[in-house]
This record gives sequence, C-alpha cells and structure tokens, in this order.
Amino acid sequence: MIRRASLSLVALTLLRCATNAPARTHPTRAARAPASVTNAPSASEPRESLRFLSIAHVELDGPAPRTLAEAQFELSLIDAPPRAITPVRAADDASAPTEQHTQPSFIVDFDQDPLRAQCASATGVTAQALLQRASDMIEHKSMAVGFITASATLRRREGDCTEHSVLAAALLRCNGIAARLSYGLLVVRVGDRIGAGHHMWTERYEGGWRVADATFPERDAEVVHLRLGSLTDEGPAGLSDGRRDTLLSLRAVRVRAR
Amino acid sequence: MIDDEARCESTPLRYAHTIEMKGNRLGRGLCRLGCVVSLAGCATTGSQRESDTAASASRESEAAARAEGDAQRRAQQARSQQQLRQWMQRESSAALEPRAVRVGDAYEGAVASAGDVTMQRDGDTSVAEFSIGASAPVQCIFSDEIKDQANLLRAVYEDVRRTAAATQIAAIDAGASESNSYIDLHFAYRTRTPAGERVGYMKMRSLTSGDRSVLCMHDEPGFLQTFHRATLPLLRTTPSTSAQRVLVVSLNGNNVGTMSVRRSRDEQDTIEDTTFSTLLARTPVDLLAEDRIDSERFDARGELAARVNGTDENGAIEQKTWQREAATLRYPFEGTHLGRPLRGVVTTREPLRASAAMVIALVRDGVVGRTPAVEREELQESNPLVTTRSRIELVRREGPNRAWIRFVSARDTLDALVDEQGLPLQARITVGTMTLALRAGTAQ
Repeated sequence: MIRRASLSLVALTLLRCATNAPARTHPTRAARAPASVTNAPSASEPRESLRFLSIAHVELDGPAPRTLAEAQFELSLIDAPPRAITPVRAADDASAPTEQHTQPSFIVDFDQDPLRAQCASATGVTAQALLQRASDMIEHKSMAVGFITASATLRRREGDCTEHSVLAAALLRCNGIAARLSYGLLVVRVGDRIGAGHHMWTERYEGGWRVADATFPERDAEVVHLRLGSLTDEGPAGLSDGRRDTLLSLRAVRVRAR
Repeated sequence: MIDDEARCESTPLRYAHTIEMKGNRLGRGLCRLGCVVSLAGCATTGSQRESDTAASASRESEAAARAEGDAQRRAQQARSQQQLRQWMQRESSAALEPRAVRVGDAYEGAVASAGDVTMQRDGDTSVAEFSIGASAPVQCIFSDEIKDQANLLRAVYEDVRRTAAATQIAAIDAGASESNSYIDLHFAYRTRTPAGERVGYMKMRSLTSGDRSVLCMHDEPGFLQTFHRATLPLLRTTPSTSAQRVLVVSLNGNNVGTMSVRRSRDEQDTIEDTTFSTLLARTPVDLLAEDRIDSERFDARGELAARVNGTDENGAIEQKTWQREAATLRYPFEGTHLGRPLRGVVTTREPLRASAAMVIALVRDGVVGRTPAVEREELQESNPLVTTRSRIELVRREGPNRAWIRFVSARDTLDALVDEQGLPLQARITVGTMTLALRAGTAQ
C-alpha cells in the first residue's frame, strides 16, 4: 500500500509541464507570472509568459548560441552516458502515420461527448487554426491538473501542456490530419537567458512529423522541442511509459553553439 | 505584547469574508464547511498606484515620468519588503497556557492560548477563537468528521486568491504525533483598499484530532513559532482511533504531507485503509493538493476480495473499484480514469493477494536468506485493467519485532521498515532525482 501511494506522489511531479499564461486568462496571474527564465518583470517581457513546472537544469557550454536553431544539445543523465539530441525537424522522422494516428483512442477520445460535437463543427479549417482553437478551449492555464483525456479536458476547460496536446491531437485527427503525442524537453530563449523544462506536445504529419504545439500557438519567445519519444499506447496506461524514465534521470541539458 | 516599533502602520483592515471550505470526504461526495475569516492585511503598504503622468503629450516626458514612477514604485516595494521582513520575525511574549476546547460531548482537546477560548457552533462545524498575544486571534474550525487534509488547505487558499490582488506561497510543512497529523500552508497576499494596497501573511494548519479535522488559521505577519505552539496541543491531547500508524511524507527532504494506516476486521475479513495527503507548490502561486485513500479487503488466506481507491486531486475526484467475483479469478473494475468513466474485467492467473497479507506473512514466517521472495500479480491504478508483477522480499530483521521489507517492480524499489504487524515505521523510494521518504513524526 505504501508503495502505490508513494509512486503516485512521484508521478505527480512527472511531466507537469509548461504552460503559457496569456493576459486574457486572468489579469492578476498574468501580471505576476514572469517567464521562468527571468524572474524579474521587464519591459521586454513577452506577452505570453512561459511557466515551467518541472524545470530542467541548463548548462551553457561556451558562449551562448546566436539562435537555438543553431545550437547543439546534450542530455546529462544520472547513471548513464551523455546523450546528444537534436530539435524536432520534419525531415528527421518521415515514418508513415499508422491507423492510431488518425483514429480516436482512450486518451484522444474525440468520439466521446462533449468533444464529439466540437469535432463535427471544427471541419475545413487549417491546422494552425485548430491549434489556436484547442488553446482557446482551455480557458484556465493550470499546472495543477493531472493527465486527463481530451474529452475530460474540454469538460474542465483547464490544463497544462498535456491537456493542450491531447485536445489538439483530437481536433487534428477529426479533421483528417494524422497527429501523435510526443514528450521531451522544451528549450526556451528569452533575451539572453535560456531555460528548459519537461514538456509534452502534439505533432502532425505533413511529409514528416512536425511540431504542432497548442500550448504556444503564438509565441514571442524562441523555443525548440527536444523529443525523447512519442506515445505508442494511447490506452488507459496513459503516460505509464518506461521511456519517460529518461526525464526522471535527467541531470541537465547542455547547450553549445555550433 | 507586540513590540511597539513593529506595530502596523494603520489600523488593521478587518472584513468578514465568507469562505466555503470544501472538504471532500472521498466517496461521500462534497461536504461544506462555512466560516468567517477576517483577512487583516495590516502590514505595510505595497502600493501599486500609477504615478501621475505629466499632462504633456511629449513622448519623452511621458517615458521619463513612467521611469520615475517605476523607480518610486520599486523603492516603495523595497521598503515594504524590508518592513514585512521585520514583522515576520515577531513572536508573542505573552504566556500561552493550556486551555480546554470542547465540541459538545463528543470532543475535548486543548490549545495554548493567551486568554479564554470562545466557541461558536455553525451547522456541523464549531469555531474556536483565542488570542496568542498578537493583533489577530487564532481561529480553529472543527468538523464532525475527517476531511481531506490537503484539499481543505487548498480550498481556503484558492478562495483567498480569488479576491486578493496577489498571493505567494511561503511555506509548506507537515508533522505527526502517534495518531494525529498536520499539514501547514503559509502564504503572503496583497489586498487592494481605498488607502492603497496592504500586504498580509496567512498561516494555516490542517490537523486531525480525535477522529475529526481541524483547520486553524492566523492572519497576521510573524508569530510563526507562536502559532505552532498554540495549535500543537490539538495534535497531542486528543488521540484518534482512525489511524494505527501515522507517518510524515517528505520529498527530497521537504515535508509535503502525511500518511496513515488503519486495519479493521469485518467478519472473517481484514480491511486495511491507507490515506495519503500531500501538498505541493507547483509554482509560487499554484498549489497541487492530493488526498488519497486506498482500501484493501482480504480474507484469512490473504486473498484480495476487493480494492477501492479514491483520489481528490485539486477538487477533481476519481474513484476506482475492483471487486472479485467469488471463487473466480475475475475482478470486475468500475470507476473513473484520466477523467473519464472506465469499466472492464481484470482476469488473473492466480488469486490476487493483498500487500498487507503478504508482508504480515513474511515478517511472521520468513527467514532471511532462506525464504524466497514472494512474487505476485497486483492491480495498478495507472492502468486499471492490467495487472503488473512485483516481488516482496524480507531483507533483514531488526530485533524481534521489526523487519526491513523490499518491494521490487520492473521500474522501482521501495524499502520499508515494518513492525510485527506489518505496519510501516519508515520507508524510502528513489526514482531518478526524486527521493520520497516516510518516517514517524515527533511533533514538538
């Protein structure tokens, strides 16, 4: 009994990920929610503040890269050798979508009310518009929500990156766009500061798997996504995926200019 | 008495603010506590008023005025912060004496107070108010039953957050006696008033005492140790029978909650209830409160007859029930999972055995080095329709009445020191960079 309860607490700290806090959501919170990479409010603070829940330690190896797109990344792990990792690019993964990527599942349950009605009305729009719609549906950007399904997200209208991801995947799939759920790290650059945190996002297929991140449909900050894996099981097991253990063992993200 | 030099600049603001405290008793639906809390907000002014801008339409002079206003505001905030830090160091020099607290004929406990304790009854709650030698009194709200310890704190915090200009979580702590426990939440807040903004500091303690929940609050900066001493007797003077073992939960060395275990008999079966309450600050302003109860019913052979799991995570309740079909290896499941209903049947290869039963058997009969580890199938909340395999080992004995047990699964290992009844005395699990520890409390 203590083992189950203990593991649930450990699980609470997993993949509680990034969220944005646009000013329209809650004026007070938005005014007080600086980006995690800069705790001091400044005139140049992005309109959308990025907040991380599970922050990854960032180590800068040499001078800061001019852009994150030009940077090299390496994961420093506990009890494992360092591992190089590259930002998500469509050309890197052109594996064909499977049936899972176009059909409803337990987690991406667009065949369940109330999402089923939303899907019926969200046809013929662009992928970007669908991501914005998913973001708009989640009125309360909250890091206090555990992992819930897409239909539950629409009922509750709150959540962080996991809720944005499943809802975006649902809207994309019901519009005939193959979509999958990926997890890993989000690296953010705001001004001269670089931060990183655990994150989950949607990817859509268009000649390869491309980032379709509803958590940041419009963003002022420069971000890159470092994918550790994509969910292959969208059943009740949810995020119970052994590959997530890499995040648990992460000691730091090293960033180096090319 | 309060040090005159540290007296609040102005008369403390006191306004009645009705707070609905939503104490969810898992499985029994929503229960409500009603109370009136005075938010004093008497500390320094942290004014956020806009500085007067020049009437001139000149962009340069506007920018200059804005910069000057920003500088003034920063200077004022710095003074406010310094003054708040001074006030936070305050403690009461009044003598705190034990005073009885009675709720009808059913409860008698004690607090440490600088004066008489007044009691008010409101529905199924009673409110005690007493002085600790500060400007604001301490209020303790007694319910007639055990509520969800962590979510009780979160509910009050969220209610304050809705009306305050800003809040910031300051501290979370937990402690326990032999049969009672507490979780503390402290937070600072800003309120807007006609005279400008006020900064306040709220201390809250959610306790169990005599098989009921008590929520104590003191709304005034400082008096941290005084508040602790004033409410500690509630933990000690009235034992609870609803728990046989109470432990403090820590995460990476920080106390974040409590755990309790209770066993009872029902005809030939044994029922073990484990409750787990934790409070985490996910950001400086966001709380994550989880109250969980896990109940296993098993027979004389240790075979699981039923398991019920209920969780309240920030007000979102999920319940899971597995009930064995008699004389079969089928365990029909019904409940909520990841926010949606789920039903199904778990079919196993062998009868499922309750953890408690296996631990008891190992402690009673096992021989270190000669008794093979006990392998088993077990149910899992993370995937309710699929079992997983795990192993329980007797690692070593510590004297005649204690033993170290190890729970091993494919992905993690938990070590626990248990007594002759198999009840945990302490435990530890490390997953990646996180270490969770359970230990007996010695609240003082």
